[in-house]
Amino acid sequence: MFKRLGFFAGIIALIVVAVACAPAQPTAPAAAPKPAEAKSIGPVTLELGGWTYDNAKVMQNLQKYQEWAAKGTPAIDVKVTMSDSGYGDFDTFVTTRYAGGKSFDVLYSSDHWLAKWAAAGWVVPLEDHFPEAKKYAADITPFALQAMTYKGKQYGLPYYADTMFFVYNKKMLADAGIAVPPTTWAEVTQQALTIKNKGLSQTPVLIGFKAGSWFEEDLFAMFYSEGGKLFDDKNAAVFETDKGPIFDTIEWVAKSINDDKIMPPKVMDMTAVDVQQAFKNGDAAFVIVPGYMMKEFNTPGVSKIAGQAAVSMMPGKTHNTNGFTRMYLLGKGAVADDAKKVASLKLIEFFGGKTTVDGVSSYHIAKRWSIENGLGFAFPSLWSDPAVDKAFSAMADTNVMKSQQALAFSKQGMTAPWFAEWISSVRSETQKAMLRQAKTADVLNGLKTLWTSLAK
Amino acid sequence: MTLTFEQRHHRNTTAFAYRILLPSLAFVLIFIGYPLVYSIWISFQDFKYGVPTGNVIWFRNFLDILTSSTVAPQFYNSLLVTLKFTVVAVAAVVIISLGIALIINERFRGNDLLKLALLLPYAIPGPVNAVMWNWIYDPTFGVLNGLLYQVGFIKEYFTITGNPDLALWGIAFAYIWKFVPYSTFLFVAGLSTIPQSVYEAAQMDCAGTWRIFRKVTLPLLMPVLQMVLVIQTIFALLMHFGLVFVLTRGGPGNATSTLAWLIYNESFTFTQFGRGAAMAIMLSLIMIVFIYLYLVVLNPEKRSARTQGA
Amino acid sequence: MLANTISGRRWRKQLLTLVATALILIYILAPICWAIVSSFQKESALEDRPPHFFPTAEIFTLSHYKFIFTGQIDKEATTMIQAQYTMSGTYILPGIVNSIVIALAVTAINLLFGLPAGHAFARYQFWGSSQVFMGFLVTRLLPAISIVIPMYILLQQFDLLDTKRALVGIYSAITLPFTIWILKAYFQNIPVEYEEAARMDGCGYLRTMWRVVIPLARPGIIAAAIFAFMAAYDEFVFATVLTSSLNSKTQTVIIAGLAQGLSASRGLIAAAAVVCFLPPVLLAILFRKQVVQGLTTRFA
Repeated sequence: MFKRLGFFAGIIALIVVAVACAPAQPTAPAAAPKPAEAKSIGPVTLELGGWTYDNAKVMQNLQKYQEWAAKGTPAIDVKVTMSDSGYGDFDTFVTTRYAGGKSFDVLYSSDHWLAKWAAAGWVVPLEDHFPEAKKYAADITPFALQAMTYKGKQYGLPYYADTMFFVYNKKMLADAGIAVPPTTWAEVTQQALTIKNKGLSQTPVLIGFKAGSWFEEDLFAMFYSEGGKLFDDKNAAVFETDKGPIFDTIEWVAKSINDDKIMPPKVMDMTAVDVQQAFKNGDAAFVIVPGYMMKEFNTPGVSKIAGQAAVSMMPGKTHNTNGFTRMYLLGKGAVADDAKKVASLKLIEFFGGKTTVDGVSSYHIAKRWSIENGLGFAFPSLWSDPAVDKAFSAMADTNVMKSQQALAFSKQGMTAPWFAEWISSVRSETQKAMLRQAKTADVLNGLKTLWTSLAK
Repeated sequence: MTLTFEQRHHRNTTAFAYRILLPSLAFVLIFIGYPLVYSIWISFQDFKYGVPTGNVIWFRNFLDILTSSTVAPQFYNSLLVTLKFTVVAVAAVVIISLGIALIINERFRGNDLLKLALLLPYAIPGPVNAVMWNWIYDPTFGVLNGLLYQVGFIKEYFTITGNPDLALWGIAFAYIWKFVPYSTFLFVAGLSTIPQSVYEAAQMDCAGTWRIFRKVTLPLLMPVLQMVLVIQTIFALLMHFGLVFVLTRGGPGNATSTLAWLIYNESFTFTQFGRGAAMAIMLSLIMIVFIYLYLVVLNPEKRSARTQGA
Repeated sequence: MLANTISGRRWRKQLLTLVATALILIYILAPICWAIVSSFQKESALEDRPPHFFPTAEIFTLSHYKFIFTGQIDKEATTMIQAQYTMSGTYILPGIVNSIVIALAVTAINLLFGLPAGHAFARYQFWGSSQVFMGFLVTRLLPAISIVIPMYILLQQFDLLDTKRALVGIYSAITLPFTIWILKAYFQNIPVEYEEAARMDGCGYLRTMWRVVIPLARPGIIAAAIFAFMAAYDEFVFATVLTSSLNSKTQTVIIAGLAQGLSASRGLIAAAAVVCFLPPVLLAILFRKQVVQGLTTRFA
């Protein structure tokens, strides 16, 4: 037995030695500082920080960028490496890196992280280094532009921008004898009760309220649909706490879960992704989901209700909705080095802007994401692109989509660096109100006080 | 190499011992000592929006956590949730694993199968465990709902992790499942050293099973029990993080917002690094209190006598 | 009469033991079985109610595993299904390899350094002995999350970010105290006379260790090795923030990322879970004798 142990110990010791002696990974060659007027730039290595989503496509896009940059003026010899983490971890991933004093050259961001990262100085205003960014402003949906702006400066170009839609199941409504989808939340209740009473669905309404970033996308969409206003332009909390649209919305959810039972308590454990899976399984009549999910709803073989999912204007007094934006930002590390800076700006423009590839000028990457993955875009001009129109017409009524998008706002208050801390309490406290563990008015009062004290 | 062990042993044991300990000490000092001191330093600093303001505020972060109107309620809530979870999880793990260990100790056929099966939950990595239970608890397609529905226990699919009264226990159940084997092995080890003759003597006195357990097994098992309690408490206070992260994200409401989750949020979501570090230090202090209680309350004299005898 | 009741009692006891064993087995195995069964089902079947407890021919598929091992998706799969096969699925194998390499190195370091250290604490009375020992133990009380950022800064200074070596160092530091603790306890249970006899025979320190101490302490050493290996294979918090590419990402990071993926295939997640727990489970089954003997060794 002693021999055998010695054998294992030997193997293990060998591995240790191997690991310890393994040559260090070749580090990125330091970009030689070049004079600005040089005809070619590089070699440069950039690091793109992003969350994992269809990485195969991202890699192809990066490859295209490298080829494009090599042919540009000035020609840039650039190589991009991508560091990624899961979306849920991405905030941590970025925070650790910057708190530890390192940076990305270019990074993805979601609208609700921008203020926090910009206030910490981890990302720098794009327009300061790339005045051309401003020229895109005219072509970007207002809510997306707003989402990319912090303290009056534009920080990024859009990766994609999508809108929260009210989606219903056509067949279920027809079977219940309902001709027109609801236009107010009271009608939603009414129709949902009809559907439930006819046994067509036990859970007619599904809106995901699991703690997490989908929570506020859903909740804000409902606030806005009733004309709710949370903060003014100076980020002062202006919402009423005992009546008004915000109060009514939360009360409506509480009533739907506890009294009308048109929404199951399990929505507290569902994100928009869980709602998506239940809806395409034919579980619900009405859901609130981001637009890109329409593609999956109406794809046969993936969805049991293919062809039955339709978008409708958000019910409520004003039919407004919430739009969210994912963007490319310029990391503070990239501006320290001229070559890196130029290459990073080109990368942001190639991914988020309009470029000429093979003689065709277009928002190539944004267009690709919309056509192939159904992701929404921040450039309304893309609607006139036949390929985009064809792809979107296959998944939903594009007229409704356009009208709804025009009524979208970005999340108010998001431009405050303390938003992350506040919204975390919004999730937990609002959930309590929805489950009737706390009074809505008390919750809203508490949240208002919290906002004021965080703002100090 | 010219000195014999004996000589070395007598001449300078201390120097020799430290030479042996040097590599281990180096690892611990570099990778834990330095970051620990650094994190204490962080806890004394003031941060605004992720950047230190340069002000050293000493214990203000600690004071804020305990008294300020924005943080303190969350902290106390998390403290309560954490204590509830820890007490239940540790008690359940100890009782279940002791039960299984007693069965294994019966030395019947199938005993080996049980030991082998116990290796499985132990071998499942934490995040995999969280993903697995998330899928089991799923309120729309989950197998737990499916099974209960098939058997007729429930009429409608229900949610565990979305129900504020159940969520923490759902997490506890998944946690207990993974951590029972670890303690079971420790108990089996402890039981195996109790001589069979002790039991036989007790049976001669016609003592019942429960009486034998209480009067013979438990006292002899005390050192192992202490060890299990210490390890399990440390684990229960920290290792549930992955489950909260995947299953509930602290919700619904604040029902599963444990201290570990709150620390993660303070540091990484709110970028309040000073407060996060201060809370982490407080969590460590809580552990020390627990461990002190175990070591002192559970028969200190007996324990020291035993270790000396060994 | 007396014999009768005793045998009756024994029979009852055996039945009870058997029933209890069966219940425990179900409790332990059911969740794992469900993960395995799910991993062989088609995506659409996983969204059926009630769930399929046994994969029948029409819902059976190997495509999840095929994707993990080869990165290929069935040709007939629609683009939407293809999108559900997020690329992280193909990172599972490199992640497992990283995890295993790291865990083995950590185990080796633990044995190489922790074993003599545990032995020293058990056998020598030296200046500061109990203080240093307590110092080691106290490090176990540190929430990983609280030292992640200092750790990041430390690694960055030595240019060790996103390397396996960094994780090996950290995990060794985390596991060594525990290894030392259990080995110390184990050595204390071995009579010192054997070592003294070896020394009488003129054996030096290394020879005594190799010839006497290690063979005698074998079960304890195996147990310590298992604990260290599993702790390293399991770790998530450090791995998730200190790694950024497949160069060092471990399986825990990959599967956590996969599970959070936007509408990732459930079957794929289940298959990934199975693949991730397979290596330690296989190791455990392969070396079950040693493992069970090691794990059921008395330390305290």
